[in-house]
Amino acid sequence: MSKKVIALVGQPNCGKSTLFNVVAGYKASTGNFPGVTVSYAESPVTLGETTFRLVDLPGIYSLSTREPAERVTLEYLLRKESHFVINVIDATTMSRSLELTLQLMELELPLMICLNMVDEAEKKGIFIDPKALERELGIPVMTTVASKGWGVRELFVRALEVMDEVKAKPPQYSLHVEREIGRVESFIMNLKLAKRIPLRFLALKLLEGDEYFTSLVREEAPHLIPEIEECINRLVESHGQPPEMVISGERHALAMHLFERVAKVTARAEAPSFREKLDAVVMHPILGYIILAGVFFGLLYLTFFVGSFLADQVAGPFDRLTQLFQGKGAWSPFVVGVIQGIAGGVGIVLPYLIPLLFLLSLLEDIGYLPRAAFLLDGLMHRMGLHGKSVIPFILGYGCNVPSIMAARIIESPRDRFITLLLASLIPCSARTSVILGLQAKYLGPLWAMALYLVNILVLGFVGFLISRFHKEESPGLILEIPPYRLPTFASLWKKTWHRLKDFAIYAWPIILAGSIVLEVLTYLHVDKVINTLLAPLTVWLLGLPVAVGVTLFFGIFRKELTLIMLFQALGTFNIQNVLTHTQILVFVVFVTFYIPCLSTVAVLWREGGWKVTWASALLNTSLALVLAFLARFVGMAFLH
Amino acid sequence: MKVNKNLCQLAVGQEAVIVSIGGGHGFRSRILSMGLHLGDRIKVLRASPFRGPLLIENLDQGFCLALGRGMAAKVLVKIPEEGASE
Repeated sequence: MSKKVIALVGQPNCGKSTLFNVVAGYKASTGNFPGVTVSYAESPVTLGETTFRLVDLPGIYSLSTREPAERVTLEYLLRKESHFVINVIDATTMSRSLELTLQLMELELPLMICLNMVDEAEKKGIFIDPKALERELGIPVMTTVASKGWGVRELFVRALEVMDEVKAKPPQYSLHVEREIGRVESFIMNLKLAKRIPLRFLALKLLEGDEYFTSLVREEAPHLIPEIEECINRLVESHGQPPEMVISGERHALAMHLFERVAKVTARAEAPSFREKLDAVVMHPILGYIILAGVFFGLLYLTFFVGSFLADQVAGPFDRLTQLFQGKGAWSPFVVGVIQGIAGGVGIVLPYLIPLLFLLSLLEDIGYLPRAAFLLDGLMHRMGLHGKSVIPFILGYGCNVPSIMAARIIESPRDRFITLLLASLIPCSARTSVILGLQAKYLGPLWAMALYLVNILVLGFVGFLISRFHKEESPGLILEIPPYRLPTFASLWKKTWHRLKDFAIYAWPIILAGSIVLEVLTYLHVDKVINTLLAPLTVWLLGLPVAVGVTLFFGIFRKELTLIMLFQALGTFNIQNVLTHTQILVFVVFVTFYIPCLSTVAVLWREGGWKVTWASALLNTSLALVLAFLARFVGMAFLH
Repeated sequence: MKVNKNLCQLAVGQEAVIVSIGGGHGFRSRILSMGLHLGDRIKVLRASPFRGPLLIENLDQGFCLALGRGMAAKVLVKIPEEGASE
């Protein structure tokens, strides 16, 4: 079966993921943050009688090889895995977007353009004639407003119609540049490399001085390098500029020229826009930080209030149900395990997950994250990082897995290492359900907020220490600050639902299986063995009841399991009767910091290699031991 | 002829035209691909305290970038004369 594959390519924040989600039914996550699609998402799409696969590639500014996201996209396109490429363009920044379009045309692929957000462009006074653009570029152009679903169906209908006929022709540059392109082409045309990479594209990359492609040529035919360098030198001499500026300048001029021919711009209103007025407060040197703190703690408070309300509604019925089956026949441990597993998901984890993920989606889609990055950049420099790392950190409060993948937007390997290491320390929604479900519920929400604050301080301190040992200049922040966008409730809910579905599909079976296994282990008295083995840690060091050992063991699979199993292992939903406040504090602190869950470890390994994975496991565990031990004394002083 | 300044030396609210982009190959390519070119008119919208980043608007293309000071110092600009048109 060879289904056609259509790939979406575009600059960050051009509405590519929104477009994808309109037709794909929310299989990919989007966010109003440049570069949120760090690994590509795909989904089958059926239109009339045709079914094709739609692939959403990471947003990129240019076809270069410097950043991981750019490399993923370029390699995907070079492998020719897609039959057709739709270049999504944000109509409000069209002339910049056209520079990427020109590069895509150099790949000589079957290509068309989707001119998105035309409504916003018109509001800004930019009126684009798609027919004229189509004539100028020689490839089909369709207009859409993806956020409202306008023109989306027509876009894909047209794509399916033309996909076998259209092929982009590379743009022509000025005589000087063309002459050098021709020379380099003649040098490299017989290379094996030129069989998989379009000749002209490769020649341009070499002329630009792209390190990756130059190294590929050096491997295959080192004798060509001096000849190519000669061409570069001639280009530099005739233009008086470095080579990448010459080529990019040519593209820029071409893009501006195109823009002038196809767009009419009416005078922009001079009054400060809504965006400027809001930014004046949100990014204010003092108010901005107050708002940031308010947003952060507001997020957690709201999650706690909504979450504990929902949890209370379902706790009672499940408790009664469990008692009904307890100790009734040989099947009883199995049945109780199933009930506890389901109860754990519905009654303990889900109530906190729903508001937290919804609020995080809201922050993301409004466009708050890049602004937080702007505000915290100065602070992050003290930790040897820069503002961009804030984005993976904030996403980490939802789940560490996407947050670790989001670290791909960080340019330097060293910064990425530190970001990965610290991101695994962020309390994710699973850990939040433990913190809120135990600490906030029994000790009061202020204790939970204090734990989040301690977590941030520890994060900062660890970052500060690592940057002392790992001295190297961080390249600094370059980040687009997109306009504010008001997401619809439906799109937010769908996004939350998509993430909840991940929980239902991946986490629930593990929780269910874990609960059953625990019941069976208890029945066979095997849990005692695990508990005894862990007793030096649990009883001696942390002063916890011996029965919690098994919960910490299972918590390595999923952090929520510690909470669900705690109820199960202690045999009651009324934790207050069996644990002192100090013990609750110690338990929660330990769970917050110790080894990240298995999926986090797996994704850390994939993204950062074994070094960062071991470093993270070691760091997390030692922090958990030290902090939980200290928590005993804090508890003795302030709790009972 | 006015003396060129770097972006960090501009006052908040001041408009200027980019005349040169320093730094290495990687930095220049990044700046260029994110849409700052020679000849672009830009404006410093705000500067965050404690040597934090600048917020810059590209007036020709209508988008905003946050740019760390170290990087902003590598971008040279000239301030257009009063009333002069380019």
